[in-house]
Amino acid sequence: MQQNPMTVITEILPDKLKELEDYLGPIGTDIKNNPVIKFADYQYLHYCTFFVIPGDHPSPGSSPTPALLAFEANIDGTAKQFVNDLIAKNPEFVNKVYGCCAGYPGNDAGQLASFLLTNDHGANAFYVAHPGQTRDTVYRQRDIRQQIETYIDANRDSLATQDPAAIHAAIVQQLGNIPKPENRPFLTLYGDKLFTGLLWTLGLVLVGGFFGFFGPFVEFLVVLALVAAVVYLLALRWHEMRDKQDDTPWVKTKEREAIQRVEDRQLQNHLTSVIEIKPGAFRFYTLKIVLAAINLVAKLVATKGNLSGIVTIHFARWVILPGNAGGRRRLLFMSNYDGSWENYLGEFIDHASLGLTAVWSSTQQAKDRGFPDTQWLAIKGGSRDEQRFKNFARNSQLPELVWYSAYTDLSVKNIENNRHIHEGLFSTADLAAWLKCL
Amino acid sequence: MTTIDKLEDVQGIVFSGYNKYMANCSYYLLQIDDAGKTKPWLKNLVEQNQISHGADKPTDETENRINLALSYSGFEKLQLDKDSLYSFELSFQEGMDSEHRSALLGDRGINDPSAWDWGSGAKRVDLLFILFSKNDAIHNASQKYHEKAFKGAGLSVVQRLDAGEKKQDANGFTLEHFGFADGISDPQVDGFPSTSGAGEIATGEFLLGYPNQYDGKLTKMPQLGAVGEAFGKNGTYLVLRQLKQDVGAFWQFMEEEAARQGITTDYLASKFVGRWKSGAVVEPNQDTDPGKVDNSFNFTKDPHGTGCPLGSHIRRANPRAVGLGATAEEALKVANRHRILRRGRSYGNFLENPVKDDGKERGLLFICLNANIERQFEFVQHTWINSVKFAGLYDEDDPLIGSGVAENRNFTIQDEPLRRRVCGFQQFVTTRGGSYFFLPSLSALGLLGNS
Repeated sequence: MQQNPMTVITEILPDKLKELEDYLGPIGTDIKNNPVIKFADYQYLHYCTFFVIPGDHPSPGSSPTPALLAFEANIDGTAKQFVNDLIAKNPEFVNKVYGCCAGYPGNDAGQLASFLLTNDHGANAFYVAHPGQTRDTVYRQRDIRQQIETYIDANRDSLATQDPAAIHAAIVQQLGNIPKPENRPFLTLYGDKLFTGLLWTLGLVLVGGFFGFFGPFVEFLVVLALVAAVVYLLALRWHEMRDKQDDTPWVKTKEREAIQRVEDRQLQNHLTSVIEIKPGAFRFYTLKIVLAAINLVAKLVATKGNLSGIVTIHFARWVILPGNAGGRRRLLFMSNYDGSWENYLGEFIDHASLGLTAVWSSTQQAKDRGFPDTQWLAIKGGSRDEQRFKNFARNSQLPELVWYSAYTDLSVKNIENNRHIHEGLFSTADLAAWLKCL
Repeated sequence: MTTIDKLEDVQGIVFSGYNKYMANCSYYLLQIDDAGKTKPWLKNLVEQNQISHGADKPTDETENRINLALSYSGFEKLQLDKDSLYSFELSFQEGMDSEHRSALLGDRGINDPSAWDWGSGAKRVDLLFILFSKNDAIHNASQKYHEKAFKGAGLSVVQRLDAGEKKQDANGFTLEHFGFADGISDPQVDGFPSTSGAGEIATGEFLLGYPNQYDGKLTKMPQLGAVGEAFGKNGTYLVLRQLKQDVGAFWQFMEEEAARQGITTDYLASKFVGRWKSGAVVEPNQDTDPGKVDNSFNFTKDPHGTGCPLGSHIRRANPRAVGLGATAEEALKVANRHRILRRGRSYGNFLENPVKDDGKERGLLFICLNANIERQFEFVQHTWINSVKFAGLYDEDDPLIGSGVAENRNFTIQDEPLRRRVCGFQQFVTTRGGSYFFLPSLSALGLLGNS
């Protein structure tokens, strides 16, 4: 089953903001045992968050924009299936939350579901560490590993005297009847080859077209594309030279403290970032294209728990927020990751500066408070300026009211390893290497 | 290659722990009661050349060395303005005993700051005064002299920590209390007087105002009013933690567990540490201590940890060239962005019979220097030492110094054909106190004294 992003964004009625926060806050502080909702009951749900995007006051004269409620869910299957399940199991929760939002249709289940689905903005780019792994699969494989480890703990001395094939056979026999793992999705297996093929085709068309191998019309188109690329790059540099990076100092603020208070308390963290897109169509469409490219890479290449060298992200998404109050558009980024914030940002800088600078170099905190100076979209500068980048990221962060993880005890690497262990039960190839997974 | 502008502006402890010439050392943890008196005292220390610096190398004749650092509350009490206070990094502003920092550092349960001997609550520390002396007689006299001076300087002593008995092994390495050679792996820092050639780590990782490991960028420096960043230059952050070592329990456990698993005690203990007692890294298919120490390994010959286990102490403290990147070169680049420079000493006497506890306290006065606490010391502590998911593992923290979370006290020893596992063992190292300090340059200390 495919994993999908659901991002429901609704306007909060101004006089209901506090009521909403008071309702969701206590759920967030006691995510497991709160009396309102038990997220573990939803078998399609991997991670979800609720948070408020504060209303802002753009340029004087224009009316302030209302605060928004964002509901992020990382789910197995379709949003429709999940929403129906959610409303069927806990209508009171859904009604209470969305009763605080503009456009609430009342408590009719069908209308409520369609209200949520209408306001679902999905994602402009979506990354899944392990495509095809449903929550139940993750749970099952965790159990399988646990059973094997317990068996080895109790019998290590006698097992270790045998050869790998005999140990494997003993483990398989011990486990008894275990269902075979599902095949990995087509794109996980062949996506990277498809991607390489696409790049080669594009390269061939460009080079061959330029030298006239495909006739004058294609040659004309290629030259046109090259001219357009040069014009684009010049325009980009023109914009970049006028951008100003954010140079305001680090300050201990209430907002930052609120974010840190819940951070690094357990294995995983959630990062919510809302940032303004630099004004003008040029930056907006640049960003859209970059996000489309990242989405393509995520679908085809980054399908094995590794997003351009970052091995700690379970799910991540970028969403361009609807509306452009006062001419300002905003970019929303949400990520569920392993380890500390410091490590996460460090991994971004160490391994993925190209991709992330390509995205965020089109954004700013506010006028004249832009992303760290960047040259050629992502080639130089940007997030490589470690401290400015971390500061920029911190300043764009929002605290969550509710954050749920279906498996706080599993890292991205654990899930991959568990799957490997499960698969290895049904194979006799390279058993010595398989035993190293245990 | 980087050149340090003025060695005489940098406090001496940056370059050396004075282990060779200074046999004695006391760490005074002080509170400022009357800043009006503290400032002239500080001014005097600087003007009378009492603070040791990088250009005055000790010799056989040298009697004392003094270094001095301040915590955030210390700077507050010296009445720095708000902007200057905000220019320090956030971890320093919050303090080691704050809730967020404690969570990051694993100071939970019996490590919790509320149970510390010093460093939290009413026993927070403003100032760290480090006194080194050549021998006992000089140390006693110097202690008396300075303790008297503290009274006149509006300072009260929260705690005095004395470095303890010293032991060296046949190779000349200092031993820590568990009996392992220590201090083998301090980084060769570019531009330091003791470093020949370019060094492996950029100057700016340990001294502010110089290029760091991010393509030579400058790490943010604290500022002071009109003086600006010149205040922070040639200074660095200093982390001090008092780590109690439970030597008797450690070796008792090793004996029992080794007997249960049918292996030798030293073999098991070395797997925990990742090094044999001599300091030699544990290599695959090795059953006894080779006795010779070669520190040039980078784990590429032991990627699966069948020699030095993936979760062992030294692999966590510095993963070197395996695990943090697709290639050895990339992994090393990442690992080298999180290095620390150790300058501490042991305290207490060595336990005579390692398996029989004598009820006395002993351990490590851990000191490290770094230009960015969050990216260096805290990162190592959180992402490597205490992380149960380090190197793809599941439910274990550092077996030697890991935090007091009972369910994480497990350890996997990779082996062929099948791993060994040790489960549910106790904590051997306990945090008894700690604080973040800033170690200013001599000129910055002068400015503080004159402010």
